[in-house]
Amino acid sequence: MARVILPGAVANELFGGREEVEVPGRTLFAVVHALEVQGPGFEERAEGGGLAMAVDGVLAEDWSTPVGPDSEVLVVSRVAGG
Amino acid sequence: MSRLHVTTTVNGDAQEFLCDPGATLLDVLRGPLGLTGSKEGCGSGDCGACTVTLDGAMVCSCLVLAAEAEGRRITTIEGMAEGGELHPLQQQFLKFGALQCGFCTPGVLVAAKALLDHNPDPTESEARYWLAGNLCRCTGYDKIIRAVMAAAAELRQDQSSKERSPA
Amino acid sequence: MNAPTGKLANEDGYRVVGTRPVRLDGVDKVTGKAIYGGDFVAPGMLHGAILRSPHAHARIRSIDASAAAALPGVKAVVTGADMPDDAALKAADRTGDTMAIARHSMALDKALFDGHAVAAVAATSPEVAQAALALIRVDYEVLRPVLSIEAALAPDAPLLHPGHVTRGERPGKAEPSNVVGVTTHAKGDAAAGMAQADEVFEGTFSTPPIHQGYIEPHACVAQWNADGQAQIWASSQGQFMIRDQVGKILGVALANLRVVPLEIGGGFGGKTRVFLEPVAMLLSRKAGRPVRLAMTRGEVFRASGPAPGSRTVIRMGARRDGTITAVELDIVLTSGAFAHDESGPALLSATMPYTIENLAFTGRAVFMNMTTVHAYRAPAAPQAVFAVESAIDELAQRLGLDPLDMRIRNVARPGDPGFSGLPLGEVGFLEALEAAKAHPHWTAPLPKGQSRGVGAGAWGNYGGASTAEVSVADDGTVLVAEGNPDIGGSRAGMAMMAAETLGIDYEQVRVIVADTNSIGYSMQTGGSRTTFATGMAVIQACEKVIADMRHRAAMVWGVEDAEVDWRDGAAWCGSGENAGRSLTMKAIARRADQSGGPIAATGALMAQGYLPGVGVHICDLSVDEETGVTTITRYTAVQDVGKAIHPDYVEGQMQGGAVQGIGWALNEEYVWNAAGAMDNPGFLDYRMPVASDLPMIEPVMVEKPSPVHPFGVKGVGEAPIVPPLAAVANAVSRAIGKRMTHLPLSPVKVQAAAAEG
Repeated sequence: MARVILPGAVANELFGGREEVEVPGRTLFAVVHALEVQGPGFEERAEGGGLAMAVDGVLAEDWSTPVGPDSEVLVVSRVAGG
Repeated sequence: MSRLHVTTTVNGDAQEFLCDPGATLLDVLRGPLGLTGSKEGCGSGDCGACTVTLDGAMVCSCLVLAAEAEGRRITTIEGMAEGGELHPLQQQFLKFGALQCGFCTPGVLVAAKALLDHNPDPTESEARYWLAGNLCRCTGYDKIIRAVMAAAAELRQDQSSKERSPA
Repeated sequence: MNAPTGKLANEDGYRVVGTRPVRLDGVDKVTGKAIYGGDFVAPGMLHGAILRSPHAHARIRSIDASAAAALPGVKAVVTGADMPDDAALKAADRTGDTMAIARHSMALDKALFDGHAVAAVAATSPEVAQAALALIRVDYEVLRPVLSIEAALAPDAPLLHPGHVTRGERPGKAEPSNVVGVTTHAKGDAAAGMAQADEVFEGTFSTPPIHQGYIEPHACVAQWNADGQAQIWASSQGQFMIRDQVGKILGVALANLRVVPLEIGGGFGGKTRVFLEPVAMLLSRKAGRPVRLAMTRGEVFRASGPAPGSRTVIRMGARRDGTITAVELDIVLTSGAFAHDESGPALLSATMPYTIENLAFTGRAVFMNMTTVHAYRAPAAPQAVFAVESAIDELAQRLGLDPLDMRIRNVARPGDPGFSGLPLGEVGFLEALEAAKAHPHWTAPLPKGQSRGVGAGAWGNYGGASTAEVSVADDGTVLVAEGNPDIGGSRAGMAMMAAETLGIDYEQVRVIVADTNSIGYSMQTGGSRTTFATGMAVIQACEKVIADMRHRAAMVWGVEDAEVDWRDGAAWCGSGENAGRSLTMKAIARRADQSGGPIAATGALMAQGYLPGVGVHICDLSVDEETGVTTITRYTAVQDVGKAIHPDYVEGQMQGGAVQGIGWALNEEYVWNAAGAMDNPGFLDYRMPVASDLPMIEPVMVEKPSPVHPFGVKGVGEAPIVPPLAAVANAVSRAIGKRMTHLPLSPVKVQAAAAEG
């Protein structure tokens, strides 16, 4: 099970305040799908570009990035600019 | 409301147009005369993007009524180059990278030419005060002033070589 | 200043990158030929005009536009009822800001700011359009406006959006309020860290809303045909952004909406959303003709997207040696009439250049009856950093420390955990601070009556999606098409990167900014991403073209691809009977048809490699205490720029951003009357810096290349606006011996502060 760390706002709005969630999944596609089950609406947020994900400390744009059984997935808010 | 018929000279060419009494010179330059080089940045004479010359004097064309152009000589940015030959100011602006978005550039160039026609050897301070009516939001003015000073020097050089060896 | 013929290498070994050639679009721009948003004319075009609410907060009871519609020459009238309804807008986009953008562009049942569009017409001339507006009758029920952060947060405040659920909170937890959203960030134990400090500074800082101040007002022409296909010609920071937003709002399939980018006269973040385009589209569909819509300067101020005002409460503790032990920061930003919450970027950037063990940050955005705010160059960073850098300056003074030394003591280094916890990449924060310290400006004796301030601040480049297409013409010249509007010379940068990659001269490459039907998707120009991300796409396409040409040369020579080198714009044979022979691009391109067809390739990618750059600005100024006038006498802007592809344009970003920040610090502000109407919606009274206000701005580029970009590019456009507010305020504070905390430092304020003694 991968350990997912969520930003406070997402945790509050979609996951009842839980900032750490454990989900199964061997790729980020699977992890996102599992997160959607626990926190409906997560997938749309992640697709929209407002969130970025890092697997074991490395930012991964590509959701086919493999996720190991002890991996840590960090979800962060993405900031664009002007 | 009946329209006015105006006959004028723009960049050396005879022009005529019909306009509403309340139309500005900027409106007719950009509209019926198809000269969109002069820009509307504010419509109230505060930004200088519409700068042209009227009988040799620098003006904000948004503050001149189109009807006032009757019988007078107007020059715009489109008249600055001689055919395909860029004016030294235009060349120095390109060389110094003195434009980023380029929107204020036509007004700045017309104003800078008016400066150098009036004072061929301005100090940096004189150049800055002369151009104080031309807002630029992109460059911070540094490269603009450098380009103007360089063009001034180039024009003075050209002038003194002309004087040394008259044609 | 022109590019060398490619034979000389600069100190990095590059032939083109790092030189200063003339930009490709330069002649058009200095001769007035370039076509900007308001210059474009479509045959049969109608002129649109918008009726705007004079009330800051009002219910719209009814609109009677019948007299306007009947006026000869009027071809279409539009109101909020013509926009899709809430359900449709929500269905198009459940999590984003589509509904907010739509309702800001045209009000539905409430006017939420002075200048809010309530109706629009399209007519055969601008005069008829204005006459038509005067015939529209709107019945308003005026409501009490909310005109300040304090008013927005007051318990009895009128609610702009009673149904709004504050973002970032647990559902059902928050009472309805004007708070758009809450963001928090915590690290370590701030209370404990504060207790360890030898010196604690506490202060409240504020900045008013201010405008990006681009000289070109918004303008577009839209044409929506009966068969559903549409075209929009507009200046903006992103033609794909326009397509996306308009497509979502109006339910237009993306392939049916072709957006053609015109030249843009400044944006700075303010043109990263649509204001006019949805309305122009609706007018066009009704009229069956193209419609031009443009804003006047007054409309730009009242109804586009200025930068948020802020109120920041900060506590900062430091040890005697200058180590910052804790920072507590509570920032409230205005959001305006609709939701646009910049508290995330505010917290992210607040202490970006530093590694501090203990942080407790809260950010909130509040609704207010002013136009919806929008991005302005490093959004919310200048506001947050103003408080942080002022606090550092105050503590440095109290502790008797050199202000740059104190910053160096706390600097974040590569590998340190960044805001998100992920390790920082090869940031050049330390190098930039040291370069500032070593600069002659820092140690120059201060002329009598002057004072010196320093400020630092960082911003990171976005990556994102970019597409570029590169093709080689028969004569060996190269065409690059990309999808990013050129706001500051990026076309030249793309040409330089292509020329460098291909090994040819800059003059052999031409770059166009293509419309949405002619190039694959590109995220917009902004976020300091263009030279970085679109550059990578251009390079990727060039590398594919090189591989293709090597292959064609290999076929000619009868060798394997691997035995063909690419150097100096030519293929070189490495083995066999043709060893040592070369084929130029021109020679290969001439035989394109006979070697497989046209030579063209696409680079399409998600650029990765976020890497902030820091700016460190040193400002000398004098304050006339009698008049309160501040005069900047010397200004140096140091920045870690990664690698400057075209140094003139990097310097230009540094100088332009610094001057915008100087205006923010000294003069610029939105002023409203008691009813909430803007008092200064023009350049006379919204006072931006002019040429006579300023000295030369000396740019110092520190090049610490990014390891993730082929030429080491880091985004540079936004960082320069982050330091100046504090650099200027710190200098003024030192001049009059009083910490200045409320911007702008206008003469009235400075005179009063100086008089207080």
